Amino acid sequence: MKPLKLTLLLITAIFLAPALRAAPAAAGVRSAVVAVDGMSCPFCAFGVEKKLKEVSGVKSVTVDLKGGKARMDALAGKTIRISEIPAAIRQAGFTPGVIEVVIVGPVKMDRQGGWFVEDDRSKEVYRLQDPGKDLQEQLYRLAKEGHVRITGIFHPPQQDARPTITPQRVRKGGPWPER
Amino acid sequence: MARKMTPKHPRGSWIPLAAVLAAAAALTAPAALAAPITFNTALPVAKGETVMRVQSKYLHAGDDPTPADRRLDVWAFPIVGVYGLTPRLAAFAVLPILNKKLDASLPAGRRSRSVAGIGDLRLFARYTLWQRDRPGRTLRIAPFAGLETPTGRDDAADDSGRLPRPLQPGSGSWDPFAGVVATWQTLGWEFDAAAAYQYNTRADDFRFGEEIRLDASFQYRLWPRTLRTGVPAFVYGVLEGNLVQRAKNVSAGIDDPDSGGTTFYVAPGLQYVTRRMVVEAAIQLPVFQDLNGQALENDFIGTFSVRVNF
Repeated sequence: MKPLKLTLLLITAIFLAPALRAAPAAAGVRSAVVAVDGMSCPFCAFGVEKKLKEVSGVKSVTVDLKGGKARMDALAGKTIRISEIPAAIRQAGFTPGVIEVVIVGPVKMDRQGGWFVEDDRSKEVYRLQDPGKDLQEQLYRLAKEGHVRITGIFHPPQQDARPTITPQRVRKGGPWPER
Repeated sequence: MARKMTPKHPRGSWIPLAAVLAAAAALTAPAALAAPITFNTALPVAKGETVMRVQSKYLHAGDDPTPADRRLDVWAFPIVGVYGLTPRLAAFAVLPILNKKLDASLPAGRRSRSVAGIGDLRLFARYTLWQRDRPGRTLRIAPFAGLETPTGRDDAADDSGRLPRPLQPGSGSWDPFAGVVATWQTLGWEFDAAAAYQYNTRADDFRFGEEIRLDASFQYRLWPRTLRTGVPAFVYGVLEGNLVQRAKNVSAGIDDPDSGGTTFYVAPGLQYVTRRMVVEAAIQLPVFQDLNGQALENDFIGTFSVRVNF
């Protein structure tokens, strides 16, 4: 290899290394509902169910044809690896839609006014994206009481950022009983 | 029904047999995965998953224009296996088990010839070229192509000698086929349409006529009338149409004038669909037959089948 090419390769590797190190941990939740576009008959639903059961951490899958969704619940003490869900839907031959997740844990606000929730099982920290005024008021109140249960739309992490949730509903959470 | 008249064969001829060909072809059509009962679909098979289908088909043909009063009865049991190689690519295998019986009046009296055994194995692949998924509905287009392999006997004989070629369980030839199927499925109904072409090659100086098929199927959810949550079982009312056109067979370089023609079937049916299983039945009624020469007309084809998701 010519010295110039070797130098370029080394420089590239040096610059890429921090980005690779900063890759976020795979997000995990204890319950998720994924929209399955195109699923419209009982016989097809079985393939979706089987593929989602292969996602890491999944204990049970419940498909709802009418709503076009599949709900997953995690094994006791485990979390569902969200990043595997879209691929599982595609392997079943359908198109994954939004993923709604449920996170239970303490919420915190940083100095810039950003809200975060830490899943009390996976210890993964999620940023709460654009909570409206009403939700923020609820978060203020619930944060003082302990754990909060947040249901929202999951957004995969971009580069080294944290995974994000667009919260839709919040309520007092309390640690969930192990299932 | 229209019929092209050609000079008749001598009384008692055993050559008749476009009807048998019709039976063989109709009973080994690329029946496969999901919704239509008498042909294929574009619905997906999950990667790494298997669907099995066992069918029972009965064909009766009579209405012989000749004094031989020929009657044909065919029982076919196609076993279909489907495997999802990728989310878009599925491999199909169809192995028919056949029992054919032909009765005719000969100068010596009423005679019967019959044969039983495995037919020709059909292997094909289907690729979902285009799909548009929306909540509760999907639209897909999937071409398919394959080969009918000569696994069935083509030299079966009885005490009268070797059976006529169309009565044999197998064709003896390697026959490629290809087509395209489109499926539009919603939670309330489904429509499938397919076009297919099969080119039959020569074996032992005999060649079956090539075949063109156009199929359409409409399924309407009859029950439950109102969907509830979960995955309830569905009952579909089914109405299918099959237009089948066959060219004349060629034997020793000469067209068989009593073979080939056009048939249009209408097939009402019912399907009971659960997550793991489909149970279905249909009867194909030939509402139009324009057959060449003295080919036997089909009276009906009855189909009962069970599909299982593994």
